[in-house]
Amino acid sequence: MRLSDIVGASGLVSWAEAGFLSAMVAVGLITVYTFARRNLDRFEQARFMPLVDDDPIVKKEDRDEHA
Amino acid sequence: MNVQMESFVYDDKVVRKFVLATVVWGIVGMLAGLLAALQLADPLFNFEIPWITFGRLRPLHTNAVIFAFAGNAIFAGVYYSLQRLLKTRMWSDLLSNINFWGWQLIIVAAAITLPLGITQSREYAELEWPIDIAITLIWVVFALNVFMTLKIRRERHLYVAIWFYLATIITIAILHIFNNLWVPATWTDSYSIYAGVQDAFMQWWYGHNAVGFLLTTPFLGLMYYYMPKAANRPVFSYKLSILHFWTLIFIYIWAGPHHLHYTALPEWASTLGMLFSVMLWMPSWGGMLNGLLTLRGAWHKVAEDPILKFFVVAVTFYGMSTFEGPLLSIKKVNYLSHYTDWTIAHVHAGALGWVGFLVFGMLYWLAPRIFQAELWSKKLSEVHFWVGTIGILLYIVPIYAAGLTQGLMWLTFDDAGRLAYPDFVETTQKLMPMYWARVVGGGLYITGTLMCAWNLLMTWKRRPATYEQTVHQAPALAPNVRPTVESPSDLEASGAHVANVAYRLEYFMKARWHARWEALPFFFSLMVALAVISASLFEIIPTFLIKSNVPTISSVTPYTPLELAGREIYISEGCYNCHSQMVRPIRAETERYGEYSKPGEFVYDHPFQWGSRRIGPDLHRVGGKYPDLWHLRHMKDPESITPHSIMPPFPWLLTEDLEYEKIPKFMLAMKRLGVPYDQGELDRAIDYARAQAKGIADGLVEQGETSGLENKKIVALIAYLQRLGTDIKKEPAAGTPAAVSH
Repeated sequence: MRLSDIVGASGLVSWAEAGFLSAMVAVGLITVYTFARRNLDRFEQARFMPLVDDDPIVKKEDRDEHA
Repeated sequence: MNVQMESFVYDDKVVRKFVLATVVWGIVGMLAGLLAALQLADPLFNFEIPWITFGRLRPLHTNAVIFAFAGNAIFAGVYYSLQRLLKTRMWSDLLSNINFWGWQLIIVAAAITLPLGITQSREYAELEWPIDIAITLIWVVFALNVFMTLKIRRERHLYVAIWFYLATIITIAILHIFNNLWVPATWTDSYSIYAGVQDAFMQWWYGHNAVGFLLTTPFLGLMYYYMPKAANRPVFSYKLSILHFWTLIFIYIWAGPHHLHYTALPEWASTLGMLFSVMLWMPSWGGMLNGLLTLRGAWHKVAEDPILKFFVVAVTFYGMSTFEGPLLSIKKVNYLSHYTDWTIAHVHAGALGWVGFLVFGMLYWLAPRIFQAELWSKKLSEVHFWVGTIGILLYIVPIYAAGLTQGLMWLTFDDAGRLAYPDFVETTQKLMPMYWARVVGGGLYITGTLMCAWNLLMTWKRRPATYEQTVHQAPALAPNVRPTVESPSDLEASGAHVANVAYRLEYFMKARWHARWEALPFFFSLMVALAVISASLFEIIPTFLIKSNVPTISSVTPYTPLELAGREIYISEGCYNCHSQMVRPIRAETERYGEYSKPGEFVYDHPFQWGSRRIGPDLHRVGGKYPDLWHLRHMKDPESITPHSIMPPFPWLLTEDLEYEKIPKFMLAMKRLGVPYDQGELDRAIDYARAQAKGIADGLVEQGETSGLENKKIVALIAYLQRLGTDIKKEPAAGTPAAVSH
């Protein structure tokens, strides 16, 4: 028996349906995880991550003053 | 407890290099696009120069803007943000430099080979096999540097932008490898291991997801980093960004087959592609709203800040494009839009609006920081914004109109039930004013890009004599301790009467699996890879393994040696950029072109040549439609045969010699792919080819053409064109050697 026989016997519709359902289940699980209350604090902290690493912009005048 | 602080300095030198490359290649790629737009408005702009003829220039334009402009911008943005989000310098400066110089060499190689007609003809993956290998190596260098930087990071949580970067790295690697499986024939020629329907499927699995994972996910990552920075506000909803990420990863990869509606691709695959494309509305709009709502309470800043203006328009175009994409994937809409300029307008709304403006916003934000000097002119960046925005509108609005005009004219019947516009060139003529408007719009957009380049150059000139190296400090990363789970269970302690399974479920949920995975980048990446691969396999396995997908046709035989050589010329000249080879089972198409295309007709087509546009008519049934002399004169001077044609002339095909000695190599590569050429055919390939060429050339002499054409490229191309779509019209000749039966 070849792999193509197994795939062929399973039919096209079942592949499409199984794929669709698996994607839906995955999306459902992600949604539950995302909105789980226990993650709220961690996510709230993570929101600010880009804002805590700022490099200063050096103005030309400031640099000249320090030179 | 004393926390040991570690000191470190970021590597901004590599960021500066990638910024420079972004601007330089952006200008080159956009100028190539402008010239291509001029060529469509008036073929005179082809200047009869082979290297810049539309068929060769268009791939140069797309590759330059995608891989050189957007690619370098991604590297610049990632190298800057990744170091800061992980509180560490890149793992290896050497790898960063190899990444930079290697990528630039690849771009230079593309800029040389594509104008020379060295191409695999797979859209957005045209580069030949040695360059494909170079891309793989450089991508591995980039990935290694990123993963090792993750390993030495000083920040436990991976911010969502990094998730998008990781998804890009992994998925692009998968797409690039599986779309570029080929058998080389020579150093500059190779054949895809897939043929016909399966090749088309793989190409658009790649093509669609290249848009998704090179022009969407990395830029979403950049949006989630640079937009909060520019607005000085945190992202609106981190939860929404996580939902955005995972739903995009799970859904995007399925949508590729929507590029092949009504073609010879099995209908189940195209329906599945449509379904998932429509579902993409959900994550895409979630991301767009998250971006725009990040500015909640900061909208007053947008009026004053050109950087925020660029970001707002970019995200708005992201929303528009991701609304329109699913719309175009609906079969009935695609029925009208496919092969028309509607797709071009859609692509450019995304490319110019979303990608381009996000890059410009990022560059203006980065410039003062990486050059350590104030932006030279905020006013000029403001002017750039308005010129660019008007340019986008002047580009896309006429091209949307052109797409609708084309689609409707192709499909319209008169009262007598005949095609209202049977002459293809009639539809082309109608588009000319819109094509000229596009030239103006594109010109304005490039003008804006030049302003950006000037502004950045002048900012760079204000840089200090030596860049200051800011020393940052952060504690070393603590070990990733597995969260403890209280025992006995809360449920048990509360005295609730529940089954044992509930205790176990509670224990499982408290383990906070995803929180741990987020801190384990390698495991997280594995999850992303699994999501992408498993989704792909749901479509790939049945497409490749169910034989009924491609019913064979006994009269379909391999190309003759001369036809194969002609096919190489067709590919090399980039004919697929303007002509499809796929008659859809739609009455307007069968009336215009003939019998609709069957999957079994393409089993020897390595690579497939279905194309994605009809700047000129479909060619699948062109075989036998016109005499050889018509083809010769048409290639020499299209307008003399078809007045008002915008096809460029190809006079060099009548003077350049056909390389007969390469034909056995082409056939051998095909044989390795399973095309049934026997050894005798391979041994006598050149003789067969010369005999067929002589027959065509003698016929041309009889009709008044000069002699000596049997050694020229034109006879091979004529042989190929005359073969197209003719197999189903003939009876299979039993016992005839496959390759010489014509």
